[in-house]
Amino acid sequence: MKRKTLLAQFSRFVLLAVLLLPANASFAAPAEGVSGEQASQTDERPFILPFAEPPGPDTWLMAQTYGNTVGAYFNRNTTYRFSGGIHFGVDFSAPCGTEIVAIADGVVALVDATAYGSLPHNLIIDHPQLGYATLYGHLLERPNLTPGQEVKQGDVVALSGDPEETCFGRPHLHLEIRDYPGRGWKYNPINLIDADWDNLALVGSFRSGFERDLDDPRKWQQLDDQPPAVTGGPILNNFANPWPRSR
Amino acid sequence: MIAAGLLLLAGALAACNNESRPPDASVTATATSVEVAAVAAQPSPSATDTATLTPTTEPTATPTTTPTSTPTPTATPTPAPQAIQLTTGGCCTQPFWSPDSQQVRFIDKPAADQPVGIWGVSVDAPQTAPEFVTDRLEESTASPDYLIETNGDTTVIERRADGQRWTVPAGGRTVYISPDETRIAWAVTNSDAPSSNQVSALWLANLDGSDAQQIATLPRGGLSGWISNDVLFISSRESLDSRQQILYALSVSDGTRTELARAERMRGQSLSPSGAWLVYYVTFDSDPSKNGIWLVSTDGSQSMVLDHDLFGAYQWRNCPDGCTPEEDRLLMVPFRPDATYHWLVELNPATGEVRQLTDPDVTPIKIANGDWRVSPDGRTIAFVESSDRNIWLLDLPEG
Repeated sequence: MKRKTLLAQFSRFVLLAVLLLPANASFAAPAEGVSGEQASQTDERPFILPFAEPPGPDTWLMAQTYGNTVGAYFNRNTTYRFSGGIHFGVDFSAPCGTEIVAIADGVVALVDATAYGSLPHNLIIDHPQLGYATLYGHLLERPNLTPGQEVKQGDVVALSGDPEETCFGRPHLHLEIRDYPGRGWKYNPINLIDADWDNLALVGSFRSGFERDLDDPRKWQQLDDQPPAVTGGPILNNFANPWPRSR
Repeated sequence: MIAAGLLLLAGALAACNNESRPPDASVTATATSVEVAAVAAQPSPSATDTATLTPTTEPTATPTTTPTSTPTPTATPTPAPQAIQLTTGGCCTQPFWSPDSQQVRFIDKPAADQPVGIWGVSVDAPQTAPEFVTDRLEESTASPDYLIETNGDTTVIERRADGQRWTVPAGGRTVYISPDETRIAWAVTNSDAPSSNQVSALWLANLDGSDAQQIATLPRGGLSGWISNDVLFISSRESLDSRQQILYALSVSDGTRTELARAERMRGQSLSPSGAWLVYYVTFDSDPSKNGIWLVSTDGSQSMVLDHDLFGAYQWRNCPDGCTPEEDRLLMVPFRPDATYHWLVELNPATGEVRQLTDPDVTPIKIANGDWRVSPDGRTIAFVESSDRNIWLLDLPEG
């Protein structure tokens, strides 16, 4: 009841806030039921990285980041069409069988929930105290967990896999942070996980640039400035004047 | 306050969405493979769906030298390089250089009443207002002599010297021009297929687009560019279900392939300015000794894996008048997940010598999102500084 009341109180204000929001504003929003105080706490990045081991060429590395990536843009009407056309999680490349840890205390919500994608196996953990849920996708095997089971931050909860199920095709973990309890909104993990993302980006010879909207070319060009996406929502990156125009 | 309101708006929308949202059944994530040879998206001319090797393929020698490790750098240059802020107001991302190394450029629209295009700031006038350069964004990826425009199904080459333009049959894909400017090559990939079934058809034509012909089929592979006037740099697998990726030097005159590297997961391949060296990195191999940054001579005779201490980001350092094989240098920013600041080192691939170029205690820079670029003369890097998201410059010690 408290959360509903709070929501109603803020409804007019929220509409005004949307109108006032700069186009390039960055934010990561917790879900329904989170008070302003809790929202402030989430600004402190309550999650940890999903691996116990440090990153490196033997363990894991950051791959595709969240948001308006060039790769997502060119798949906005196919792979990513149900989530605003953007990459709605962070991909971490990792060899199959890499241990994945819970990124916050929580309660197992769903195991192998195929409707949430990221097959062949996935895991969803609710974090009601934070107002978020987390999804761990492309797992090697069905996690040996039961809905309702409590997990602690840092507990091993799954093993990473490969969406191609070969373990040499594209082995990686797809990690999403969604709202709780709706789980329809996806937020930028860069703003919610306590990590130095600029350091994690220092690999190889390329820059992971973002697709540009030439009508507003600074929009969504930073790791931490990316829009939230909602399942079934409009395509966010269907730009009239995109750049690059082809891959 | 605004942020708090938005948080609640998101929650409200999520609650609404929960009642009617479609299932995520089609939602899958894709691995990032942007470093692998850029290949085009549109299926014309069409790529085949079958995993085959071309008849001209002749597997040839793999590197025969024993991989060696490199020493840990120790020296700190004197005097220490100092970073200089070039832009203001959090401007901008993905900087690149003018051909004469005198201006750092970026795509922007500084104000609502100003045009979108390429803007630039002179390295001699830091923190001054950017100058409008052009509205032709193709300049951001152009070579000194040619512009390549891709738009829809059309690829147009423009020669800067005389402004002549012509269409080539690459169907909207980018093309690679040979060093002697006589031929072009491009790859056509069935990008609509799952990545596990993607095959690239490799095409070759004269610079004017005439005599186009398919010269190879590359299962899960692509084209990275030219090594020399006669040799292309390609990646492929032996078949779609092959576990290992292979990097080849492909002779376009006789079709022979020289195998340069083979591993389960190779990324970030890049040719040195002279064309004598290839750098790439391997991760998560079933043989851990293969993991790390590798340097291979493009004649296939030498290879070297770097110490894990040097794993990280890298770019080749250009030379003012072009590099000889002996002058090739690899600039690196070591990967440290907890680093407060970043630093640069330089590797001579011919000798394995490593030199530290900056000291984070003296030159405390931090590159945002791996966004840095070496100037054409090799003397300076431009980078997006993490602390303020402006573009900064760092002059490099002489080689």
